[in-house]
Amino acid sequence: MAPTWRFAALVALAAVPVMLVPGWHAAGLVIAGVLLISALDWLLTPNPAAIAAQRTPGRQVRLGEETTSTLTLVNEGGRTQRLLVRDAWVPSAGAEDVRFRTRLRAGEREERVLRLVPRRRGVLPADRLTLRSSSWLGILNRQRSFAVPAAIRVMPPFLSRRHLPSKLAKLRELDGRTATMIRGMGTEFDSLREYVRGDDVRSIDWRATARARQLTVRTWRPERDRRVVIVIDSSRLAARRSGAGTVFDAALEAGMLLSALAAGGGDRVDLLVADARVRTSAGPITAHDPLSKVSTVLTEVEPELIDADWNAITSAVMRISAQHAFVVFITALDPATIAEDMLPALPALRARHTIAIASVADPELADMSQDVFSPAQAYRAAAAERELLETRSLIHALSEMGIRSVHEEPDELAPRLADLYIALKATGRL
Amino acid sequence: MSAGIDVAVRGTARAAGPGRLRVLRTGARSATVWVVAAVALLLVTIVGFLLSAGSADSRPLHWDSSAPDGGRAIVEVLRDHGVEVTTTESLTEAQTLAAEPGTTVLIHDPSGNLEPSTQSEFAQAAADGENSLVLVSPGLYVDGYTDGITTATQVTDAQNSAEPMPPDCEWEPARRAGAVSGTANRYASTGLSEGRVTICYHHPWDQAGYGAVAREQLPGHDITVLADPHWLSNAGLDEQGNAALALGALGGHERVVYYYPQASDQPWAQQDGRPANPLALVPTWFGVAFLWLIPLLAALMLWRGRRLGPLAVERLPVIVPPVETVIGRAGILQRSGAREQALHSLRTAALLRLARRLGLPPSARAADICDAVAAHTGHDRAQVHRAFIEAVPTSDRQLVDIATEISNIESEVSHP
Repeated sequence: MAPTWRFAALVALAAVPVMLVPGWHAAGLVIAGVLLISALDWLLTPNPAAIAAQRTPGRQVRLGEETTSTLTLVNEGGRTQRLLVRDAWVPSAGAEDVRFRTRLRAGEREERVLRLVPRRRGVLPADRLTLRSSSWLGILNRQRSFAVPAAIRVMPPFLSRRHLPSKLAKLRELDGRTATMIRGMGTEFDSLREYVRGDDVRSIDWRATARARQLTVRTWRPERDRRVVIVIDSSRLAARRSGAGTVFDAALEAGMLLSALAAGGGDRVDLLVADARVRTSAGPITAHDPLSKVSTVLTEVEPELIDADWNAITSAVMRISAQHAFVVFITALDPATIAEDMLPALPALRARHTIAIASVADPELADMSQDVFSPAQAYRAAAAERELLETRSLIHALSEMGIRSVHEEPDELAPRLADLYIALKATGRL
Repeated sequence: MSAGIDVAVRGTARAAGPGRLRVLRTGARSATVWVVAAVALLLVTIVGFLLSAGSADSRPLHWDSSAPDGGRAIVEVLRDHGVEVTTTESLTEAQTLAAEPGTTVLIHDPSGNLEPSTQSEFAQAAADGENSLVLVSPGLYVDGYTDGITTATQVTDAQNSAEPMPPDCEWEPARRAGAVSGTANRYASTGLSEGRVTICYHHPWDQAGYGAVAREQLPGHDITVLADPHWLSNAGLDEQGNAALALGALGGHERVVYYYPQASDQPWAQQDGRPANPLALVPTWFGVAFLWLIPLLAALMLWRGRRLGPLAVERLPVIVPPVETVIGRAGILQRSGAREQALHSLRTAALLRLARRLGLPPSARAADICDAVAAHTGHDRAQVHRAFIEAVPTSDRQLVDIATEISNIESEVSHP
């Protein structure tokens, strides 16, 4: 039941007879009259339960793009419905103009397209649908709210996509360069071809020359079909705020760029999101359409306020790849966590795999270390400097152990991690 | 997928509500019902309390007032003694009743609402019906009823006017009642009806002829003036001989008419166009319209208060404020006054940056870096050493000064 402005107006109008004939009896009679008219109008109003509804969500989009949802209303009752509809979605789905009026004759159906501009990644569900039905008098409306399940999927934005062409070009350049028969670590046999002037005489394959009766050289190319395992930490350290979202978003960007790049470079990529347990995984990701699978898998994951279980993560990585692989942990370079939880769990992995740690730096730290104009600021700057020094010494200690690390601000992490991958690939250390 | 196919495949949802019984059952469990019930109960209690309390009057000596200065007790006492008591606030009714024979008319007019002409009409009615007229604390207005009695003022230095007063007169009811509680109000005979006025009850220090009760015995009727309303009040009735005096003064006839004058009921209020109450000027319809604002407000609240569906609730991912631990550590440093530790961090970080900018190896000693900085910037070597190595801050102010100096020197060393 929902009274309208007409109900209020009716009550206001009812004051006139009472003012003309003052008294309790007149007032009681008039109020009874108002209630009677309202009750009659309520009976005249068609029940909104006669409306059947369905929501059809539009295509899944990346964050920053807009999508739609189509609401279908069917009047299955026998009376014409004058409706005020609220097509409610969760706030971050960014629904615009969720309210509209419509008139549905018996059996008629209507489709209404709602524009949605999502404001965060994830599966964003629709809220309840509310129908308010009124009669032609419109004094007392009937209102019902009911669930019409639907959800739009918003994939990570993958803003670092713009780095992909240049990084892939660099990778191909590597390819082309090494095709000139520089043999070394990290290269593998490509093919035999006839010797032409200028070729390195060291690459002449004498056995093949003997067989073919002409000078034949071996060509080499960068190793392919290496294994890359990307582990994204979704524990409490990934829930730190950074810009509009969390550090986890930057970690996803880095993971996606590296997946796309490594898959484009011919490697087999596996991606894990884990904290105390493996939250989701995708793999192996191949060169053909590498991103759709990753994006879909990463749509729903959000960081949680729990600590990462590095033993569980280590064993998950071991299960994925028994042979040598390049394992990248995208986590936080928190000295205590790394020293006490992560490193004790790593020896088995270090023996078999090449390990790198990527971490998102807090831009606030650098800002905090700048201002020293008041005691509070000076102490903060000191604490920030201490944190930066600790991180730096941690990176140093890790590199002593042979673990590469990338510690960059959110925007820079993805390209820097890609650079590390290219550098390792060029030197054949994958 | 088009919406049409989607609807065909997945079907539709509708507001198919649960059964009536289920609605009732879930409704009974919902908090709203109980909140509404509690509010309703509270309202009923409040209204009931107001209604029961509202019937009680709080005006002094009013027959409906059970307050200490009220007059409910005297009416009950009179009725217990077989006296028929009629109470009225209406002038016309009082005048009608006062004219009937065998009546004692009791008038208590603390606000002085009665006009002199009305007062003399009451005196005349009493005379015509051979009735008694009892005035409670009339003050100056006593002149309107009779020429024989007037209010008396005296100057005494007596403090204890509350001391009981003996009757000290020939009037029979007063003699029977004995002493009554004391009062400072006095009445006296004017001398115009000499011999017919009896003055009773006075303190020893009073002037001769002054008393708290004055009784004028006229042919056929009498007028009694009681100086203190306290004698008749609920609180005062059981003190001394107050009750007996009241009964004696009022119980002379089988009927008592208790008239409590109202300002709005007087001839001057209607005729002169001098309204006693400014609200009487406001037309009735205005009051009705004003009261009608209550249902109107309720209707407006119902209209504006009804939401179009519930609020959309969303589970948001957890977000932790960044650099929380760093800020916490800064707070600990500041509270514990660890200036040197803080300054050490700032110095180390600055020296490392400077060494890198000046192309010194990471293993360079602090003193060497300071020398290189002094050479590069042209600062005094001792000043640089003080800022980066030697100075010990003894207050937060000094810490800030040194930190600022470090930051200034650092900014002077340009990037390589």
